[in-house]
Amino acid sequence: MIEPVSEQMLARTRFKFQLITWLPGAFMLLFLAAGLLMSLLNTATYRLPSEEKLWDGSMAAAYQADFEDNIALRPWALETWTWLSYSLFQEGQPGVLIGDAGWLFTSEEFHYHPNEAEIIAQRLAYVAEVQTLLAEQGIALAIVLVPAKARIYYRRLGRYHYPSYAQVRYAQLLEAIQALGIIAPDIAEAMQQDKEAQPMFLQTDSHWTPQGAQVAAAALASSLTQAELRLPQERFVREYQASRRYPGDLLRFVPLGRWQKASSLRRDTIPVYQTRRTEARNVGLFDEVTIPVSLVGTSYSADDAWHFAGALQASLQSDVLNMALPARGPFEPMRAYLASDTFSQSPPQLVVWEIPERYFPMAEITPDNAKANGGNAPQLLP
Amino acid sequence: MVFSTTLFVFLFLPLFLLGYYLLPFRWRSAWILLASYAFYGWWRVDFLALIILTSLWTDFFGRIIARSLRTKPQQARLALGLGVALNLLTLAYFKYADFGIDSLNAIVELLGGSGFGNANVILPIGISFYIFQASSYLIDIYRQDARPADNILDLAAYIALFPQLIAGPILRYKTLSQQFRRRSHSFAAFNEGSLRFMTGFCKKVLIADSVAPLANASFALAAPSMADAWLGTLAYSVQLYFDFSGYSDMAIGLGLMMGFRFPENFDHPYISKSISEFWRRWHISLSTWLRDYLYVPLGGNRLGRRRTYVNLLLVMLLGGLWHGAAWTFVLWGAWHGLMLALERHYHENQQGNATQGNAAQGNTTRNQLPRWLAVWQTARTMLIVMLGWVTFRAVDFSGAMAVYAGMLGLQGLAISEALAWQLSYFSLLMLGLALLLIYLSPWLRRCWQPLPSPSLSSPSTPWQTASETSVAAVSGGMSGWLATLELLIIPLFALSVLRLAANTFSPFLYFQF
Repeated sequence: MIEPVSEQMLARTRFKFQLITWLPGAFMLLFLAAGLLMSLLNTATYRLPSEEKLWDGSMAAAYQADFEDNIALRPWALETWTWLSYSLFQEGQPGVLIGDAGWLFTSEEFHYHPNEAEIIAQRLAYVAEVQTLLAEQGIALAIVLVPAKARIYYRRLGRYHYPSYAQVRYAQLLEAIQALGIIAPDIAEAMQQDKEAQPMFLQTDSHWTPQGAQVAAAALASSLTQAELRLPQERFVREYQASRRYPGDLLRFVPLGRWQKASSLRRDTIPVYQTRRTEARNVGLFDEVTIPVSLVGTSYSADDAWHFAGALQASLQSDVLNMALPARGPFEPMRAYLASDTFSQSPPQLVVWEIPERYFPMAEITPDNAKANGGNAPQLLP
Repeated sequence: MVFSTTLFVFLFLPLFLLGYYLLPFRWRSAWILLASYAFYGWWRVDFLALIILTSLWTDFFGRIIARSLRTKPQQARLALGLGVALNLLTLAYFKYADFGIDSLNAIVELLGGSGFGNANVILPIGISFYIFQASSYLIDIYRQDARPADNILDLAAYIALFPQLIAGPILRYKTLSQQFRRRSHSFAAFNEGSLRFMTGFCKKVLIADSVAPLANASFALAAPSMADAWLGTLAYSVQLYFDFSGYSDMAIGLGLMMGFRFPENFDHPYISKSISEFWRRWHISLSTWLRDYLYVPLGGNRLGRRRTYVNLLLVMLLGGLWHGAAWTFVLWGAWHGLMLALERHYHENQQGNATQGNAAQGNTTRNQLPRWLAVWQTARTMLIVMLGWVTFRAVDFSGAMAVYAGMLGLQGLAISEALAWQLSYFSLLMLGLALLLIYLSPWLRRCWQPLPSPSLSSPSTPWQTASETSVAAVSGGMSGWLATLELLIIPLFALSVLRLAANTFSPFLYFQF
């Protein structure tokens, strides 16, 4: 039999029920008030983009992007969501794969391209075009095909598996390049042999280490010797200066902020090198001095943190002019170099073209289309 | 503008509601109109002209229809025809011009000729929705289901009403006309709207956006395996439902916050036991619009069996085309039209006249069917729906064929390497939770019949006896517990906002319809 309840208990139950059922509305009011306050304190709220047009929505889009980037909640939200994603699922933002023990890999090395064969054929056709153009002027071409980081450090991939369609890529590309008669050392093999002794790639960055760049430079020098290509000799010495901490570019895809100390992700430490000339070339007083080697490529060459140009100087014992450009991919810098006054007025004897393997089957990367393709996600521009 | 952005939730919505509740009632339609135009114009200011023009000519023709309905019915009919034709021609031009040219070019080139140049027409967002609403206004006036709007502001506000402008629900003027003239505002309604808005927000940001990468990665494969194809199709089915129903929940919630009560647009469609039932649960505002303004005028089921099947097929073909200017959408519509016709034919043959109406509508309740049969029918319906979603999602016909081939195992069985590395644990978890929600929440709703929420104005409940009072107290306790469960939406909403603030732009799938 159910006991009758008192009016007091009924009133208490009713009151509690009221409180519970009205929480959503009360919360929403507080939420909207807090949101409005945050917006009024956001300086971007009062900034109108002046370069964009009102009619076609570009001004509104620019305003919104500025507003959202500057909202006070965003950094905290980004760090906290990343922390939840990282600690619960070992995942970061789209674009990064988190391997074992703090190793990060770019997902670009894993992408499957349905029309890969067609794009690679187009790229190789362009490479052949470049080779022909250079050969007509008596200039040799050498390609440094940079292997994917996942290829060298596949054991650090954790739960991921380096796909078979990517595994065969390097060998196939190298064979195709060599078949064109271009000097192209097997950098992957050289790195595999040396990776236990010294790091070839950074842990939290997509780029090679200065040691990896040195291995590539030495492999190229060996190939040039085998090809009997003689360059004007100068003495260069590559010297270790110091070590420094380096925040890898892939850490931008795992923006843990204040939570990073609690994670296994650490900044890399890289050696800093300097290469200096110790003995100049023996040239006549009225001889024209041109730099015999031009280096064209991506951030792997342009960024002196990896010191690839210096490593080349030391390995080839010849001067190198660095014409590499970051954030343009490997093909745009070559187009820019061949169209430049530097090339037309001071053609080298040898062009060293550094190409990361993952960019062969990809669409051309520019800062404009990178943003269009990836929205507001961090971009990894080579 | 999109609901699931920080700009909307932190700036637009608070400012709008502040202005709305500070203004006297007679100014609120104007405020709604201003805010709705700002909301729409956020995409492109120049296309505001089109929605304004649509409102103006709809008002013009509506007044002619209302004035001449009794005295000059032919004039009223002519005005209706002109008004609806103008609306549909507008839709046809902006949405289907390039599709028409491309299709014509394909035929011309097949015959050896050279095609025509594209018009490169920009598709205005939400055009499919507001054109249908404007047309239903004229038809409802003609059918005398509604009075014309008291003023152009009310009509323009109805057409441009921002909660439903971009992706529905498609509202009928007869449903809203009274509400524009008179509606009540209470904390209870605001409360209900808040809960609804937050629920929709979570569905969109936490679930739909999380499973989207699975669907995208799978449909991007040139030759998906069996596992790829089924996983991708399941992910897309979940994504589409939570994205679209989430948007509808947000629209309904925003309406409630303003005192409007919009009709429901989704009713657990994935538990349907037939395609007929599915269309009574999925995008209800569209299916009822098509029924009332297309199927019934074509004759419905009144002109014999064959004509009924033709009408079903035609309505669904046009319904498919409404979704997008591509043959894949037409194929999707044809698939559903065919299934509806087959179901009708089967039930008419099997069950005879007595239960024709009920059976063809799939009204057999869970209590009448053995459990295994109910499960089988639900699974079969879900399969049919999923097969249709493949064509709906695929970029083109060959893409759809690749997925179907994958589903049959013609391109391998296991998860392909190209997809494997893209499988996020978080996405898979959300997919699993979503499936649980899809099949558990209808059961939870059936188990819980909540007590009416006590209002401020009448705190005492008229329970007569002590035992009734006791039962009510116990039930109140149960409802209180379940109401507490529903309050989980609050921390989930906070988590969704966190995710939104952390991540990139999150557009809706039905954005460009």
